[in-house]
Amino acid sequence: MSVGLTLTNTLSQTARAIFLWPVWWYTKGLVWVVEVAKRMTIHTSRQLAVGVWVKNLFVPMFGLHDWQSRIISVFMRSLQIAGRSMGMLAWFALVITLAVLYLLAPLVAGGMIIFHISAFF
Amino acid sequence: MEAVKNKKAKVIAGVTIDGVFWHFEEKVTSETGAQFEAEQSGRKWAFRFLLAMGGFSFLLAFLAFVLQPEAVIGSGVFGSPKIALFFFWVSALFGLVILSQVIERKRAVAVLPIAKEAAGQVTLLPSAESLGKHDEIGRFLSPELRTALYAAMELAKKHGHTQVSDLHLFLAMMPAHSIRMLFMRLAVSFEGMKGAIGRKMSALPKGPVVFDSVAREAVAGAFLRAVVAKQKTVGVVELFSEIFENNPFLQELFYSLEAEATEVRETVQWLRINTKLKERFESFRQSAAFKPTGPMNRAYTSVATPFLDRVSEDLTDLGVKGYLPMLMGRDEEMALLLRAIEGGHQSVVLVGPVGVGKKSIVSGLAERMIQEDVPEILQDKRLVKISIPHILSAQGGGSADERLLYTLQEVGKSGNIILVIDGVEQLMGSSGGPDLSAILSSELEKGYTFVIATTSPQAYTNYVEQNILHGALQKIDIREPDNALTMKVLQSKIGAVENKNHSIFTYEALSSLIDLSARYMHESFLPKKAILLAEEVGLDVGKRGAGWQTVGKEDVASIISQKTNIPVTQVSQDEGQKLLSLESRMHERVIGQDEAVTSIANALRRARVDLRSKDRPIANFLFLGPTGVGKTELAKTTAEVYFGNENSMLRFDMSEFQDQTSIARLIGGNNESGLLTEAVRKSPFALVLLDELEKAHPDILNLFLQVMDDGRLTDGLGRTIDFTNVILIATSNAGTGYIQEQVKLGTALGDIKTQLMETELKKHYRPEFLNRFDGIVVFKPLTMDDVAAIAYLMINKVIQRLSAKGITFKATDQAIHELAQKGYDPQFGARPLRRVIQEEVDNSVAEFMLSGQVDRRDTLVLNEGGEITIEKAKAL
Repeated sequence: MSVGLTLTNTLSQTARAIFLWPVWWYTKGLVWVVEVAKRMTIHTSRQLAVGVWVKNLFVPMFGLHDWQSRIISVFMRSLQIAGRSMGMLAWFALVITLAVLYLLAPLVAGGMIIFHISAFF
Repeated sequence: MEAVKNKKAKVIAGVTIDGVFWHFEEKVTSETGAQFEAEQSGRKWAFRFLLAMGGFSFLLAFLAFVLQPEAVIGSGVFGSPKIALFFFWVSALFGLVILSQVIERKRAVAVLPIAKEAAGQVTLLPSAESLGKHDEIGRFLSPELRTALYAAMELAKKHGHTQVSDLHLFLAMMPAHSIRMLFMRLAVSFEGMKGAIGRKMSALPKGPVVFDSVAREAVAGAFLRAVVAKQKTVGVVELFSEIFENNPFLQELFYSLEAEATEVRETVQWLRINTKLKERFESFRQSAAFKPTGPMNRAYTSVATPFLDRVSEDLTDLGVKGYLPMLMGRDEEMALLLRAIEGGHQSVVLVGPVGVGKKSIVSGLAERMIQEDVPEILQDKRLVKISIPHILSAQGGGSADERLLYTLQEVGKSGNIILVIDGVEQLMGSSGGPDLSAILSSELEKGYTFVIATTSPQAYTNYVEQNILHGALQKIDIREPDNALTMKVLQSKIGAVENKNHSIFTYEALSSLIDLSARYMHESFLPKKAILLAEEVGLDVGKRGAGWQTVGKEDVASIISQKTNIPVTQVSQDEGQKLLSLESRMHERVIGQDEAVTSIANALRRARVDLRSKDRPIANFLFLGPTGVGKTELAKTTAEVYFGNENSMLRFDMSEFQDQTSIARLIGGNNESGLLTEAVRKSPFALVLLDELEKAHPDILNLFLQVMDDGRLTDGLGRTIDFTNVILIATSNAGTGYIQEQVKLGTALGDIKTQLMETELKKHYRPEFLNRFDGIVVFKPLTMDDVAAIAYLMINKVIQRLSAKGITFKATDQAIHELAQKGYDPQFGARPLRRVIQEEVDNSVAEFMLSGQVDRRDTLVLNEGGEITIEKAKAL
């Protein structure tokens, strides 16, 4: 393998990486971010298991079947459902924030570079 | 869809999967190869360059900040332009570019499609125009495979061949890691192939090289194999398989190096198993993250079980933590188990011998429960194994019933527990404890839980079938897995053994682990015995040196030989010579009787090179002849030569088994083991000598008919005793008078034998019984010369005995011949000789020793006339 060919390729690959990067960031990269966000959201929703709590809303907790326990159970489960739903919402908010940061990151970095470059002059 | 690039190709090789014709039409030339290589290398260097630039920018930002921190701190982001912040943002930008490269690299090779319909085979289409819906394979090729394709092209070009052939592709794959691993597993060296491949290649047509239909067909075939095997990409292993399967020359070449086609296929599967296991484990880990590990279920309906937790272990919890083994195969048994549970909410008992994998099946169920890949009734539940010793312990099992009841009540209250009871017969009093089955049975009837119990077939017959629990437990038989499944289990477990002992097992070694443990380790069952043997062999081989050691079939055979005393290793050159001269070795102990010695030597040679039938004893012989002619001595010699010790002989005097009731003494009955069956069960590798067979009851002879035919016998306890590793020798004095008479008349031994078979032996044995023997050997009465030779052997033994006491013994030839003459009796063979030597030599020597006339270093000389003189040693 010739050194010249490797050098040319290194330069062209570096140039590709740098100049085609913005295009990649907002196309393939964005698709990747959406996939990851989707996967993690499914994971979190399974972890918080709001569905399981809703399904068992009227099933007494801790195997206590007397009517007092049943009332407390429904109350506690409602609280859990509310808390876990809030957790899910917080998660959505976090995901959306991260996605926005992803979208803004190149613009911010580029903008800041342009702004600070005048420090040299 | 990519358009076909090479419109000039005459035919297009490809494969149709789900209506799409997949083909490989990328241009493969020296130029594209160089370009690919340069791209690969350029990408690597570009990535390094980006990393360096990012790091450098960050360093500059840091330096600028250190030099002028006040310029940055407190001025805010938009205060005024700062050099430090400029470099910081440049490094951040490089960081984003590097991130994009890392993600892109991970996604560089596309993931193969999953075939919905059964995939077809590689087909050749006449032209690009005839293509319907089609797609390009290239994007699924692993970089390693791509490198191999270009290397094959270069190789063909270097040799001036017109086409890139199978052989070029084969050679080009050699540096690949997985192919090197494959060769190592097959214990095949590439060096051994070079010559043959070189000769084959020299015959290939010469001319300008092209990467044409032959190679493209191979790539399409590799793609098909990858899709069928549900691989994620097309790698070199798939190309190797494709080439190997379609090239008889390569198959022959591997065969010549002791790697059969099936072995190569199985080894390819083995390489894939590891990848599959890794994928399965990763998927399991992800699911395990959602499984609660405490007593509480996801719905929070269960109750804490403090007492149960003390007397049990939570298998689902252990599974989540990664302590349970992965189950291989056993789909049928698992389906039966789930059907029994789902269908009738019924408890089950897994019945199988120790080591066949009952616990693995329970672990497999735990794994599926963790992944929630189970019927609804098992979802969000715990699999908990009761520790029976904890229930039965304390004060001889006192209040064990209370403990069990309390445990079961907790299970009932909790409502999310499936119980596992390992060795359920222990709850039925099998280990001397109280019988708790009534409690368990009544609680199971209430239907709040069900159990998965395990037991052995024997315990099932003796305890469970006669117990109240019998009706509550649905029986599922767990049989010993076949060789193919055992191989898969071993392949999945062997990685841990290899890493622990720094040893690499070859395919032949695994195969031997299964074959030899099945043949020679009858007390335990597959797959456990093969796994334990693998651990032992791995440990033994691992100790040989510092680096990684290869475990071959010889290493397995060597451990088996050590365990059983049976020679199972390959015959070495040295041993081969010894085996060829077995007769002379045996004649060192047995005088005369050439025919008998040759018959035995031939049988041993056949057995040693494994040409014998494996479902019969190693050899069955009937020795006929008068007493004292060497029948027993030959049997002892055989035991010494084959089993390494003359004591590896189980001797039965058949005159003690003359009536019909003695059958029970031999094989057992009424729940008792028999003398013969128990002896062979304990020493399955031995010589069984049946003395004076003609005196045994005829029904006993029928028993041996089965032994000689099938190599097994069922004892009084219902166990099948294996006789396939014994040498069976029966001696008989039947027809002795006839033999002596005919030998005197000078009749040839062959004629004597024929006559014996036709007349004398028929009086004692049925023809079908006689036919079962591999050889009926007639021992001749001893001649005077034979007895003299025996006298020399016996005197040698006296010499050895006295030498141990520091006394030298010598005997003149005349004296020995005199002894022989005195001890010669045509009727009793060499027996009287032993007595003569005792009286004339041993007695006198004993007297000398007791009276103090002979001391250490002195010499005793036996002279003509039987006189023993003492030659005193010189004083020191």
